[in-house]
Amino acid sequence: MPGSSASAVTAALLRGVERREEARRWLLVLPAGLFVGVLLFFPLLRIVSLSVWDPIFTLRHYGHAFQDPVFYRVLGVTFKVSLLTTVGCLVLGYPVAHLMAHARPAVANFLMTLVLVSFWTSLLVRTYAWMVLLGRRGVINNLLLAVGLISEPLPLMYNLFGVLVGMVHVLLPFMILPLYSVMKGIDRSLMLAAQNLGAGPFRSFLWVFLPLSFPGVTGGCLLVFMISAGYFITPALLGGRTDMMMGQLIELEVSQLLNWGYASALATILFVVVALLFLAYRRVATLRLPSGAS
Amino acid sequence: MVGASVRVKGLTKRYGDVVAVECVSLSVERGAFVTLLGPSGSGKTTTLMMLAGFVVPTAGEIHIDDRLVTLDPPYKRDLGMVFQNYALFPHMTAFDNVAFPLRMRKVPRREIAERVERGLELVRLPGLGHRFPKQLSGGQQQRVALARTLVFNPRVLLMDEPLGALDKKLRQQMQLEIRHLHEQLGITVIYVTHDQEEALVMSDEIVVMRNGRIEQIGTPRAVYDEPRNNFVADFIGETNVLDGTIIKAEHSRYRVRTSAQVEVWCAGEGGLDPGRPVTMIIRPERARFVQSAESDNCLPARVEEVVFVGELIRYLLRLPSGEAIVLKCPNDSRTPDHAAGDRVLVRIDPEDIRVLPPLHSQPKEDT
Amino acid sequence: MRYLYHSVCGLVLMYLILPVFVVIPLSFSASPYLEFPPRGFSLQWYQQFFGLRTWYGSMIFSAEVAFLTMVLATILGTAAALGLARAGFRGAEALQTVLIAPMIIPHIIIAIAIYGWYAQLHLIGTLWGLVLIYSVLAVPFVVITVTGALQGLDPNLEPAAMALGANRVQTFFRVVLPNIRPGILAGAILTFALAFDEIVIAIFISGTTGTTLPKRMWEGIRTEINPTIAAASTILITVSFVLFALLETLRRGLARGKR
Ligand SMILES: Nc1ncnc2c1ncn2[C@@H]1O[C@H](COP(=O)(O)OP(=O)(O)OP(=O)(O)O)[C@@H](O)[C@H]1O
Ligand SMILES: [Mg+2]
Repeated sequence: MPGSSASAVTAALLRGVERREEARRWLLVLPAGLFVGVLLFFPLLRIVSLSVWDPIFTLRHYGHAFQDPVFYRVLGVTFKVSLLTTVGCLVLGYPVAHLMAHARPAVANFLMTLVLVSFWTSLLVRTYAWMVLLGRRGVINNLLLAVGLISEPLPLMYNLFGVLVGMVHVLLPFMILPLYSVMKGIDRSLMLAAQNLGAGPFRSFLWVFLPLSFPGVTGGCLLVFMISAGYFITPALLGGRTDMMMGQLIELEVSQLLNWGYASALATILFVVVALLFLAYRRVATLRLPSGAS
Repeated sequence: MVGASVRVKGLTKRYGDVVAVECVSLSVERGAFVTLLGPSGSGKTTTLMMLAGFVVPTAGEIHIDDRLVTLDPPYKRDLGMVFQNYALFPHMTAFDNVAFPLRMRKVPRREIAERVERGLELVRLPGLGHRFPKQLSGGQQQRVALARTLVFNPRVLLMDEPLGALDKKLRQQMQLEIRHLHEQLGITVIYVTHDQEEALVMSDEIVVMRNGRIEQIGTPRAVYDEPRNNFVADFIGETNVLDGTIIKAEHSRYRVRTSAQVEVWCAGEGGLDPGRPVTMIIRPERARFVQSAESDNCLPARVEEVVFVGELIRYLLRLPSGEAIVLKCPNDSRTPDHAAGDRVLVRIDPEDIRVLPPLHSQPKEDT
Repeated sequence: MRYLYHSVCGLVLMYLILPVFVVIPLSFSASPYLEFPPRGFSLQWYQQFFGLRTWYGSMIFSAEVAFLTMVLATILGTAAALGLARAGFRGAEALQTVLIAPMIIPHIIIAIAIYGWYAQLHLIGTLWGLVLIYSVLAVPFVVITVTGALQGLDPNLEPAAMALGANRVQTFFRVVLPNIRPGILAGAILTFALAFDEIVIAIFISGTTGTTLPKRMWEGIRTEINPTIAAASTILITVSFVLFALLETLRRGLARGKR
């Protein structure tokens, strides 16, 4: 074997080759990682530190929060709005997702396009549209007055009702899409089998389809709840003074009261809540980008 | 064009605690057709990927024509590789696929057209260059992949289960075509398959692998007729395994008592002492029915099952010891017509019984 | 029963889609107030929109921000997806989480965090200030779409190219890139849409100088109550539709290519 023993390949050399391959991949990920790390995590850490250093280490901002009745009211509203929004999205979204999963491909595609059109329309535009519809002299009140169903404009906006109408509208796609993707994966023959075994259409739905669609329900609900909890624009434009949510309180403390320490504490609390919800979501679903019907 | 020789020494790959390939040493002559054969997970792909440079070994050396290539990147090794699912570039036509390696080597444009045409003719696919891979059948895709790899005249061709996705007829046809190409081009081929029949048909030499190790290297005849152990015997072709004890060792044969208390003569090279328990390995086609105990080496048995396969008939017999034995007889007028339940006598020539140390002293096979 | 089910679905879909279409006719109204159904047809609100620098200027600014965000985020995200593709190296999972994080943290939190920091760095109201933070938000979308495209790729394609003599750069540009191009484009489109529409962060860091279109609308909604905002909304809707249609075309093409 000429030359072979002289040029023995040591394990160290081989590991070097492997390391270089690994380093190449790291180099590709690093710019994005650094970019997000610096621009996102640095300011977030700054917020956390602002919430506990003022000017020395202190927990008084958290103390303030947990003693302030306003904080509890806002927390309550945030929870209530998020919960109602989630329920609303589920109730409205489930039948639509069910229909989409069972319709002919052309129909399913059309329905999906409707959902995605709504999804793609700017959040601000959609909220503005609701202002136009729900206002005191808005489209709906005008219509009802013209028909003579009511004599006084109904208070449809600047209250909990307005917020919910807007929030459910904005977040409905986030419920429909995960539901749809789970329902699409349910084997159609299971329903046929259930009916063959003597269950009527309704009972086979109740005993077979509904339980199988549960991962989509949990995933969609957690997603909607998580997004609702941190929402800002819709409640700010459609809500009343008494329906302030966490996002609005944070905004208020920062832009009007310049109370950075307290606002940072609130942001940190909100972040922890959302992070916990996200961890729960991770357990039931993989994060996927909403995509069209194939 | 002449193939290169490939020499591998102590090749090892570990993924954490998993040992994918352990200390594989192998020497492939110029122009040889060598097949790596083994069950799933035996490390065939990993070995091939290390040869091609896609997997960095944990230890070991690879020489191609006495050039050390262990540390070279894949594109500098000048090896051709055909992948199981062909790995044709979906965005290129067949022509562009075949032209790819030539373009990478900066071959002049006119020469490319000519060589691609010749390449496509070589795999009997002329005139289909304008089609995209998804417009070709599985067999045609296979041929394009082959042409693409052969067009730059690599000196070694690596193939990882290239026929795995084809149906049986087409597979047999391609086996012969690849064989012919190999003879025609004189290229060295290292071929991976888990199909023992394919390995027997195609190879000059078979490397039987299990759990990342080499179990036996030899010509198809050698690994079939003289399996080194029970695993090889069982993996290549069907095999009967019987237990016994040596009662007499002579110059080039043993007298063995089977567990059915019948004594038989077996051929053997010697080296095993009397009193030693052994395993006897008998190929099903080497045993035959006899009318009466006309000579030595007969075993009484009862027919349990008869399966008609077409060109042969397969009998499952039960020995008095409870051991099962399979017989394959040609479907001709000389084979007696036995039915389930019949009592029969089976004779095996001494040369057709291979004696090995018993099963439990061999490494356990995990399935 | 079946009838009820279908009408419920129909109502929900109307609820989902109608508000979008209420705004469009309003923008062509001839009356000076928000009236529905609009009285007469005119383009006066578009004239107003394109006549006022504060309005059309903000649209151009938004387009600039969105374009630069698209370029930056697409490059960073594509590289990251390529690096993560054959994961299994140390730290890959942690990195993946870091790259997905911007999708889940409420924008209001990101907004105030960035606001305080940018104020110190004098980045409030600047083009690059917006582009940088929007790129952070957009990178996950690119990572996800490109990762999806890479997963659809035969894992042996790259080894095959290298075995045929292509080096790493050639392998990427001649074999990998042509096959993941739809994924990259989809990511780019999403990125553009995100940056063009974003409002929460813009409220804080898009100042009086660099005002994006959504920010300008936000101010408008709270002060003026005339249909110029409807015109601006219609423009935003149009842009979204065009981007959406592009994306769908890409997806259809991709689905056909797979067959
Ligand atoms: N990247 C990897 N990480 C961890 N283990 C691996 C990796 N690649 C292969 N292995 C392990 O190494 C062993 C050998 O795998 P290999 O793919 O070489 O087998 P094979 O003989 O080609 O099998 P098959 O016939 O199924 O293709 C297997 O146990 C496999 O699980
Ligand atoms: Mg394999």
